[in-house]
Amino acid sequence: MESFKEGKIPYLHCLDCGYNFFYPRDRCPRCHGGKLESRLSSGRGVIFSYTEFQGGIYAIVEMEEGFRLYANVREKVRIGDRVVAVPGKGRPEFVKG
Amino acid sequence: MILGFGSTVQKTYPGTTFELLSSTLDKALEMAHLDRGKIDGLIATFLPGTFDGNLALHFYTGQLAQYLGIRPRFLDYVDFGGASALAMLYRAEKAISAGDADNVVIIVGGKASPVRERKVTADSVDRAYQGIRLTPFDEVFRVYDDLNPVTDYALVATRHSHLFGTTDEQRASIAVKQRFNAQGNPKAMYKDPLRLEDVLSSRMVSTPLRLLEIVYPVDGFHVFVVGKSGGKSDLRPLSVKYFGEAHWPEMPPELPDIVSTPAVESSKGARPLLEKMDCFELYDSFTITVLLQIEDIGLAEKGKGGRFAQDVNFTYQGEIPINTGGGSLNVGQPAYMSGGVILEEALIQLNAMGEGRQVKGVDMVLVNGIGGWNRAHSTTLVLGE
Ligand SMILES: [Zn+2]
Repeated sequence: MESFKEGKIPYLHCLDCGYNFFYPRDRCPRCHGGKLESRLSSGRGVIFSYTEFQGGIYAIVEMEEGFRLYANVREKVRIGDRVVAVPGKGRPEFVKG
Repeated sequence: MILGFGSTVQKTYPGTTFELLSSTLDKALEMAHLDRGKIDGLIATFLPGTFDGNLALHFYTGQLAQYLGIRPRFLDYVDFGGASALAMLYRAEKAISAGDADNVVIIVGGKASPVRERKVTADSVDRAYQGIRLTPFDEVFRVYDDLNPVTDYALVATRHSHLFGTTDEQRASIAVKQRFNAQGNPKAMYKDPLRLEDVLSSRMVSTPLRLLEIVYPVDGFHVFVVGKSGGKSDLRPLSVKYFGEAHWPEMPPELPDIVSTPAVESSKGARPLLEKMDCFELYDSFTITVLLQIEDIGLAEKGKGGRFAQDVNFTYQGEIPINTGGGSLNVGQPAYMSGGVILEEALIQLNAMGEGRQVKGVDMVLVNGIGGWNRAHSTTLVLGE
């Protein structure tokens, strides 16, 4: 998870079925296979949904590798906007790009 | 059958949580014409922080029984959040028919004010208490400074509008119609007439959800007493006509989409009965929660819930009455779980105790509970004779 602190997004790739997922598990949630490989995302994704509240903007981002995650976003966005991960406060945050 | 029920709901209860529970139990037992000595089963649920501010109680159900003076043959604990109350009723009926207990009390609620005063919710208690982790991987999951569950449902509302063109006015009309119903409910905390403009001009909390679309967490308990028929209870001999539960344990980003809830599955077996329902009590933590269930249980097609909310008169005077007592949006949400509020209202309607908001001739009611972190659980219950 060191890469996460540096603003990069690691994910897990299933060598059996090819499924990519983000929240850590030791088995593939799709095929239950155990041959997993840790990879680093390109950091590029699109906004799947978002909300703006007192603490800022947060969103579900769909990464180009196919998995989605919750994340902070630094600027106003709409669904479908292209975003990219940048180093944030101990974790990646997203900006338009 | 349900022998009795009772509730105490108030903004801030000054005494201890045990006192609040004990007095509520007495109300339910009084209606059931039973004393505590006859209770041999107990089912309860709990959310962190809602029992005198304690994050957890060690062996919760045992401590409740000890304090209440109950010697159980049967104990159970259900942790589906807002969907718990309905699952507990189903489990109580099963335990009784299996001979595991004769009279079971169901306990849902608590004292939410200690959490509320810390300006967090039960789903975000890690923001206010030291050294708390909510998942095994908080570092990657709790990355955002969220306001769960408000922000979670806000994401759903944003996406619902994006996919289906659902408008703020459509969601707001749910709050307006439920408030109309609340005016006939003496237990409702909010009873002033509400207009669409009032909802739309209320403070934005988490886009697109505004203040008047969100429940207010309060102190309170709902207690239900379940036993065999043939006792002294004056209530109708109601039983569970259908029960379904479904659990979607994935984190929402991993679902195919976030605009459906497990109610799609839990309500499946109730679809053939929909026409026979005299009213619906749908979990209403937010306006969007009601809208999702309208679609997911099949009152409207997926994506058409907004239009339904706007066009259908679903007040207690209408053709498809929904949340006849105003729901938790107006009663308040005891201990961050509304399951007791909707179940109690179903029993009130079925027993013609609805005073100023009684639907005529209620024989069958569908109740749907949604709960758990990120709406992971749904329970659907049909009650009738
Ligand atoms: Zn796989």
